[in-house]
Amino acid sequence: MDKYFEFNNGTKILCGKNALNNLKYELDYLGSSCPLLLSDEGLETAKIVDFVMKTAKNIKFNAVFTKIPADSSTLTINQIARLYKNNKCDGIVALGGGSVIDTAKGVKLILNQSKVDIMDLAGNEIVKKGKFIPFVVIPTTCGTGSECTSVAVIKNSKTKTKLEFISSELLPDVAILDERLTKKLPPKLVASTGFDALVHAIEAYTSLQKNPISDIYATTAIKLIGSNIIDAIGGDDNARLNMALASNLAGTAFSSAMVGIVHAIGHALGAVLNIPHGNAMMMLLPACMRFNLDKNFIEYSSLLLYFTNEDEYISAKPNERAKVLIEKIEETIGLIKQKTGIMLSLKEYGAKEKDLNVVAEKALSDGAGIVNRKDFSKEDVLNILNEIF
Amino acid sequence: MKKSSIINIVFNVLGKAFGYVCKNDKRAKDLFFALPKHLTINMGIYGESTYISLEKTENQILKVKPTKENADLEVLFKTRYAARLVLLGKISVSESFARHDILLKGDINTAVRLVRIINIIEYYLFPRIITYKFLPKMQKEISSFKVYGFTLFGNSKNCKIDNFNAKIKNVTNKNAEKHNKDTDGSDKNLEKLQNVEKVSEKV
Repeated sequence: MDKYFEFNNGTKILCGKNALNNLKYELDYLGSSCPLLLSDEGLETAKIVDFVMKTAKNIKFNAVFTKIPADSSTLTINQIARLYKNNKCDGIVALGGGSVIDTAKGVKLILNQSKVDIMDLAGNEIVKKGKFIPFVVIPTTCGTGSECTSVAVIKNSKTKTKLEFISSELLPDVAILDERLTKKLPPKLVASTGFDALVHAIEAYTSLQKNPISDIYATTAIKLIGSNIIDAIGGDDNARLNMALASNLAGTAFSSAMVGIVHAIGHALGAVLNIPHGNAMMMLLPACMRFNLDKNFIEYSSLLLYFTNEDEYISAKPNERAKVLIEKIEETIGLIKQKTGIMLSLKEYGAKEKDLNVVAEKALSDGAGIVNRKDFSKEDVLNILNEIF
Repeated sequence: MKKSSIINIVFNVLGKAFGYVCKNDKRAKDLFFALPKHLTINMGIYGESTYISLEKTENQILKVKPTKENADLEVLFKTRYAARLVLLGKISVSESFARHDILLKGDINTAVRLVRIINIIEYYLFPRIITYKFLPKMQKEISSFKVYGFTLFGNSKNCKIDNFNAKIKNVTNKNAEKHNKDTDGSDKNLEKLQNVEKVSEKV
């Protein structure tokens, strides 16, 4: 081992049938008797919040906040932190997807660092160990993996730009993956969030920051996604639970190894053209893999085994395995498009050619791109964007 | 703790070369104008006093007296060893970030632009035999000797960065506005264009 690396993940994971029933025990264990429950309106309408409250009826939530917007913002976080203090809560339970979880992380950070404004804490690993705030996360999608990452992306309400917060203090104490919570997830969302998880794992496995521990998480996640994503879209409960687990593993991998060019361009597409993150990942992945092929040839070749199976791996010629992997991913995307009708070109989202320049410039300054093994220029990004136009 | 003299020298060379490279290299210039109009940057090593403070104005980047005051962006290496790896050209800033060697306070997107500028400066300052390990091949738009010369004898205050590209962009945008109005006859396209421009400004 000639490379220095750091790996930190202290989140306890409860995964499987009826995992949610252990929420009361976990909160007691962490010393929280009157927590704050955070969620969003979509989950409230879908009665998921009710379901959790009923399952955990012996828990006394001192406050419930379900008005978290699609993009978590500094304003919402500051507001929730005040709600937490005013209601004398002693822990946080976050129920939802990436936005709810990132908001909860922001709230935890501001409280454990005793700050009034979350903006004071933006940056990378600048935050010190703070006051202990029990923090439990219950994800309801199969993609973000945010329940086990030390990263939160929060919109600055004043400048409308997205800020990144990176700190071990953002890691939840417990993550609960229960199959009942992803039952109502529409197939399109299963597909796009599932692909987000796949990109997390592939980029973590090929980034500058990859290490032997993150590799184990990434390859296991890819194996689970390759064999479950289509069934999960079809509504199979077990496949959906496997996808939730894969998302968690991929999240752990990228929390240590970071991501790369697919996310750098994907974030820019989200900011400029409002393209949903998972859909952007699905569109970009094959084109970006072709761009990275010369630098990541060995890694892509070995990933064929995990994404497909032993037979496919052995039948492909060693010097063609990387290309076969890209083809197999494209086949899966084609199948998903057939099943869900998901939009997979920039034109379908109303993009104009002049937008591409703005996207390319924004992608260049995205933090995700910095650990992509192959350096990229604006022209490279434009070429990729033209490929998916 | 007394500052490490070798790290101090390299930080100062880097700081001095900043303005000169941004003025003369188009890629660095574009990145310079993508930074916030007014920006203060502190760089150094964790647990030690600030090694270098930079102040970016609309068209200049100046090395100012190192300050302990909060800057908009603070970039700190965790240890002297981590700083030496980057400043002596053993690894790139990106690799250092990947090793969790860099602490950063402020907007990460701004820091990424800064890192890209530093990469370009390093390409001029270090011989290719060192940079080939961590930087892709680039076209040198000025001679490295000119950069060395400036860091030894130049004055950053005289180094004003002309926003020539932005001027061209403005003219192009104005022409595009005119074209849209002429062809469409409505202001809708103009509005869209203005929105794109606003986003560009943010970028």
